[in-house]
Amino acid sequence: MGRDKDSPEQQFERVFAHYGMIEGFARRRGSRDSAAIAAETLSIAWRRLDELDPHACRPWLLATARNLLLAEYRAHVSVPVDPSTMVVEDPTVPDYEIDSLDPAIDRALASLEPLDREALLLVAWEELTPKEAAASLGIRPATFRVRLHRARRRFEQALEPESHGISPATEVKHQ
Amino acid sequence: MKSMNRLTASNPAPGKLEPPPGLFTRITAAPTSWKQRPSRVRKNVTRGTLALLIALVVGGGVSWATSGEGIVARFERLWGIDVDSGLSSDSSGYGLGEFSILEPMSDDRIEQLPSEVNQSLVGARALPVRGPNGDLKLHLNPGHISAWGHTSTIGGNGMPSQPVDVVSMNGKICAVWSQAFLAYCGTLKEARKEGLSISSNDEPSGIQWTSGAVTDEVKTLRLKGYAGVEVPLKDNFFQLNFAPKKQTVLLGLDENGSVVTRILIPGRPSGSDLAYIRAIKRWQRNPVGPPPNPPGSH
Repeated sequence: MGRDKDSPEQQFERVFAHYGMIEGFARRRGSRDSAAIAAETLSIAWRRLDELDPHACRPWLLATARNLLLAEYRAHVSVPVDPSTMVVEDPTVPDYEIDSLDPAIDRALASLEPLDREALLLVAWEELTPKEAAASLGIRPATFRVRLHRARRRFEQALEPESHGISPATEVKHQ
Repeated sequence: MKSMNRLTASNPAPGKLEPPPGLFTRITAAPTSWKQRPSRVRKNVTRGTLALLIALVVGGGVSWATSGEGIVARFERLWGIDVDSGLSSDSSGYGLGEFSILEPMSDDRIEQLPSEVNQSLVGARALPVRGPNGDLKLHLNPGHISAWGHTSTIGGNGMPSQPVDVVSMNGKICAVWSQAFLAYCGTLKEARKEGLSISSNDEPSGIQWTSGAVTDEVKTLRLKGYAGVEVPLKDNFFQLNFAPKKQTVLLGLDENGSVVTRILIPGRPSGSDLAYIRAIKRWQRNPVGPPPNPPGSH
């Protein structure tokens, strides 16, 4: 990571410029307090400025925001404490409740696996490049492309039956 | 592509969101790692193990609670020490890169450390010394605290949430369960390898719990032998609110799914262990005669 001669505050200004992206990310994933998620993400970024490249920090910021969302999500769901009641969760992405402007889109997204859905949204809504999205999820770009391709295909399949009055969830279940 | 366009158009927050006024100033008023964490810090880690399970609380809950004397005050009186003495801040910021919960310690912040945390840290600073009359005294070594973070565990299954702290002191990282007056200290290498964890029994529920701190590298915790079981993480801390039938390990996985941390989880105590625990608690409430012997020590 190259270090500029700018002051920490000047360096951080470049990171802080992504506030809107972080809050939008949190809001789009159903956060109860998206502004707090954005503020906390940026506070962590300031504390750990040494580890960041302010010119290419979008994946790091979204990964941090996702961890905070995970904590928020877990704090509001029943905590698994007993093996018989514990639930299997995706290792990196919670099963967010998406509330988009289109109910059919919500249903189609809900039918996807959390990680597939996240791959799709990072590109469609966060406008990340596949390389950035891969870094944000901590996977290789090639792996991300495969996942994105699969997510698109499943999303289209889940959305298509809408026009024929078929439940997308049923469609996916029988694949 | 039509469906992708439809997805893009359904974005529930399409506009540019602006930060609240003053946020930049508030954030940058706090210390940053930019200049305060020189790379040589990690090389200066003192090797060796100092893993302390502190059981310095003498006397049970009932006796000190009924006397009206706080447990920290009672502790200080019994041992003739001031748990707040000898603490200072150290600007090295040790551990900041590994535990996101940590924030650099300053002289101002050191005043805010709860006495319960200081008491729990006594075990990491104390050297028992026998006086001329044969009586045991605690000599406190200085405690140079470079970072501190505070949060709470996730309770459940009848076991409550509890306040926990991470303190970086004298080149070690200590996880402190201040309500239980327990702490566990280790190097960063040890923290990464086996976590900083303790197991104890909750009063009055009797639930055997295990709690611990793991580094930022750990993204997921899976209990070995319990397929599909994930233990929640919050601010570097977990709390397993039950005891498995047999001893097992909690596997800490990184973002690639590789195991980086293995935390020992003790199994349920045997009948003789339970009898010993009950006897110890009775003795703590009424410390007459010698303390009971642990199982298998006869």
